[in-house]
Amino acid sequence: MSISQQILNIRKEFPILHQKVRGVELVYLDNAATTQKPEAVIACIQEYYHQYNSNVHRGAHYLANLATARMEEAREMVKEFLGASSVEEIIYTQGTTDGINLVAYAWGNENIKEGDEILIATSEHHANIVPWQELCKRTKGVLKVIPLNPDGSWVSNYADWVSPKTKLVAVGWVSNATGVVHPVADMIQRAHAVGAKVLIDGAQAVSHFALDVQQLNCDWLVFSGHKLFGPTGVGVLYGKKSVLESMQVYRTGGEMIDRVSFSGTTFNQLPYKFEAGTPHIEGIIALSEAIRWYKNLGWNFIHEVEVMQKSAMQDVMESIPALQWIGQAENRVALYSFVHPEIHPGDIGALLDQQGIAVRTGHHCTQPLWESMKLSGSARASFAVYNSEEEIAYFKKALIKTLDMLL
Amino acid sequence: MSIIQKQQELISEFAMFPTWMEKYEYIIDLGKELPVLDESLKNEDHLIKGCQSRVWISARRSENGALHFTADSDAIITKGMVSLILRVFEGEKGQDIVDAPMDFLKEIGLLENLSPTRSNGLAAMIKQIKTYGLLMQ
Repeated sequence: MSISQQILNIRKEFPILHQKVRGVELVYLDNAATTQKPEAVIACIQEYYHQYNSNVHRGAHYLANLATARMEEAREMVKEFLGASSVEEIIYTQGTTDGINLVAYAWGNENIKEGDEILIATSEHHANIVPWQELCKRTKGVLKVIPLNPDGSWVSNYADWVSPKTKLVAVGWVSNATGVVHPVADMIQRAHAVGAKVLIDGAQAVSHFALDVQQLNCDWLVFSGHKLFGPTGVGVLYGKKSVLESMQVYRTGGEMIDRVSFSGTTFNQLPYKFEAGTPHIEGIIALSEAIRWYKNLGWNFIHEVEVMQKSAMQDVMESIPALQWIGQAENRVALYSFVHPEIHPGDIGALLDQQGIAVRTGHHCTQPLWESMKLSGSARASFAVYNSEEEIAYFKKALIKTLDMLL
Repeated sequence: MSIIQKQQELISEFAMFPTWMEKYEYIIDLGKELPVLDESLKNEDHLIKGCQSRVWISARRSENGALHFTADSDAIITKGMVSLILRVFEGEKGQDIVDAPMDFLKEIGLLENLSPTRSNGLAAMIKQIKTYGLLMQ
């Protein structure tokens, strides 16, 4: 079966893609913001509420036991997906932002001292900047920032920013603004060589290539379920067991305790120590369904589709005169940011929207990146495994028409 | 022509374009035709807060009490929308601007066709024009 036929079959599993918006077929190219959900994931949420909605880990009854079992099976699925060594290393969060804040408080407050350095890059999403700025305010730590090349990649001597004072390196694997893939594997080694810990923001990476946290050897990796065909409001913090065990508690309350008394409270074991309150049960179960669904496509196929998308999009970027493609580094995912010297990105987005195409315009929560490039933002088309070559051809036509209208 | 008449005129003009792409083409033309705002007026005082793109609106009151507006934006569609609204209020007196109903935007169908950020921006522009009306009576 050809790739385009296979993509067509995959599209059938996404009810939302089969609709007209503004009178034309929807072309959804805002996958870096959030991916759509396959029928299997939607059905999984419905099944939960139809058949076994119940609170987990406490009820001594049939439904509670079923919900608890499904939630813990889900954790096993995430563990396998990330290549973690045990389910104790898989902490459920509300998403990437939540996971980073957890580490900034539960590890950072204790371990960052005056003058200690936290290293990030100019390409970071605000979610991987602001929690560290706030941590530095609390602890008198110092935030250091790796600059970028004009093509959006880190400068080649990025390792020079790692110093004996570096205690933490927190970097995004794939830029949500440019699609550039950064050399995090090497960075992890460099950081460990000076005894620093490493957090990887995997939000934009998880839906593009296979990863293995043990091979990477990162200390933490965070991602959001909704960018991986799962529901919103649920994400994962992977942490090495020894690191998680050494961390203070973050949110406190039910579920995360061992024993509570007014003379003092002791805390639960991993992973529950970091999961206060009733978890996002159906979200957690549906995320594991999304992972099952995605892995089932096979990484080879996912890669093939992305190669097709990148080749088609490179043609779009290079064939339209005056269009400036931002962040052209070769090592990338199928995500394209572009501007036109005489046109506001918002205008491009509005006219593409009129033609049924969903793209994102603005600063994409990476204002320092745009400041470094002396721009204020871009229009961004980002792809998922269900985006076909036909859609890219239509996008090209619509983009040319858009620019014609605006000039 | 009264404010209401000018609004009616815009409603009929927009009704002539069957598709939204054509309506947008018209808005873009309006934006292109709007005279460029003097760079010295593109300052914080004239900047409208709450727009995704930057919009500046300045007003001047002539001796007979009529208000005259100039405006600009770094986004052409936004500029077209400012132009469209200013056409209604250009040369009107402060109190009339304050009192003017704004239903015509709904009738054109503009509001439902805009993204929430853009319609918030539009609301911010209208508020600024009405504030000028209030202060320059």
